[in-house]
Amino acid sequence: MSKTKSQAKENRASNPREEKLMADLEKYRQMALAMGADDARIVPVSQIVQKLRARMVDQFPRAYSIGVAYFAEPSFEIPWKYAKAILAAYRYAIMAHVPYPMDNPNNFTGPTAAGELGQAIEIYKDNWTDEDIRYWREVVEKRQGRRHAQASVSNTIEREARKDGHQFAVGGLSGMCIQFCEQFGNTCIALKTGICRNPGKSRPFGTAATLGYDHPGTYTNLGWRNRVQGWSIFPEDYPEKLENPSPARTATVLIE
Amino acid sequence: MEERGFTKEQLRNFEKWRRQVSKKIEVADVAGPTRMAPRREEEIPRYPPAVWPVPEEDRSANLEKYCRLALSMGAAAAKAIAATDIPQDLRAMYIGCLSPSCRWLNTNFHCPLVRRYPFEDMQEFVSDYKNAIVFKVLPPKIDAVPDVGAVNLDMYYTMGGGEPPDKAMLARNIIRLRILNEMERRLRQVAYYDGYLMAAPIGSGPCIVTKCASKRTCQALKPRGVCWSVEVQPNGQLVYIDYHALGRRLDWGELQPGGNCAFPEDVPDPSRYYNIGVVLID
Repeated sequence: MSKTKSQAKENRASNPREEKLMADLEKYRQMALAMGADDARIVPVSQIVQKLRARMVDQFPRAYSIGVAYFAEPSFEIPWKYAKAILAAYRYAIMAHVPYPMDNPNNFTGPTAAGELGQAIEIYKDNWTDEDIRYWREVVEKRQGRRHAQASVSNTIEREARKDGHQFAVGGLSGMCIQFCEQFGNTCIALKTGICRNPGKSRPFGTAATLGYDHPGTYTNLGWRNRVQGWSIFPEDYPEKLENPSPARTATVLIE
Repeated sequence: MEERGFTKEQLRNFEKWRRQVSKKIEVADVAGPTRMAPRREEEIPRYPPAVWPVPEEDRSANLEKYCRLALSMGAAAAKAIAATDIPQDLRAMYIGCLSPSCRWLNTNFHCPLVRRYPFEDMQEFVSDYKNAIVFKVLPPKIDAVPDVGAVNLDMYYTMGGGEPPDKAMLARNIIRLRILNEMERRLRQVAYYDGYLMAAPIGSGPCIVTKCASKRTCQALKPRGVCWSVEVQPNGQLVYIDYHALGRRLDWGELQPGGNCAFPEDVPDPSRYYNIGVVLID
């Protein structure tokens, strides 16, 4: 063992707070595995690649989420230098590679993936014809697009970490925060009045969009692989017997 | 393409769409009123689920493929360059768009002047990419007046006391910009589904012209308004791309004043008019 590593180990051993942190991180890692991750790691934040492109790519081309809610661009945007400083202030993250449950494959890719098309219909219906609205509602119904378990992995770990005293533990929100505002017709009241109707639930969208967490760069660092998902890959475009890697989502929780 | 495990029918379907996407973009392909709702399931191109991150050894073959794709879609020239070779210049926005001010200035959500970012950030954004596919597009030859749906852009000409525009001229330019936009959109789509998740098409021309000519004003610029399209993006000047220097660097000739936003009818020598499309590849 090198001198620095052994010193670090000694420091941890002599510092109860550090020792507790390490034990907590291992607990969160095990929680992620228990919730369905096929790999979960305690990642030093230096291994998370942060790039401005991960934020800007939402605009090139424009994402459905832009402008629809208070926590979306352009109404909410952390200045890039602050985003860098925020990520740099953390030391460890839990990263989990959560494969899609393939027994119900209709909700992981294609237009209805992650349930966002259902929201998009409500947001954009004034511009669509009745026929288009009817058509896409039927598709959503048929395919049962809904949110993926990866969101509950990061939410559960974040909640647990906060209880354990890691007060700045944060996992991103999967999808648009107006998912909580169905009762208001998927309209963001905060954009109209400045006051969010779902405090405690709503938050900025995703670690990529807010902090610039770059998936391809980080995956390269971690040696992970994944499958492309999107509007032009339907569940039926996957081979029946899928070789590794399986399509997955990533749960990332910055702990401390 | 990784072929193991796919059925013959799946492979036939991918091949059908590959041919479809590579076809030359004709005026008829982009004519008509703007489509507001997403394409229906049977009209959405389909790709095999590639693995990402893409191995570095596949990069040069993929870049060549994208250049070939640009040419097959109708580009006059296409080249893969290092992203760091894209010239960025503060003057691209602050002089190019403003002095004199562009007719479409502040008329649409994706105008570079509407959402400005610091120059240093945009330098960082471009340098986050390894490559760019850059292609040259000549304006299409259009004989008749193409159908582009309703065009309600007169006020941008008449507000200062000018004459209403020639509708045929506007229709030709809407088609020209839609073709450029469609080329960028398809290139980005192919790169994304190859596993380059961060591929970014850089905007080409004012979206009020390409997408919302029938609406008169941009609905995203209204209070609490939201843009309805997901096939638009900010113009290259937001990223401070100096298209003139880029055209010179690639030996494509002097680009007309106003770049992609200028109409061939407005430039001193329409015979030398061309447009530049850019798609960044991570």
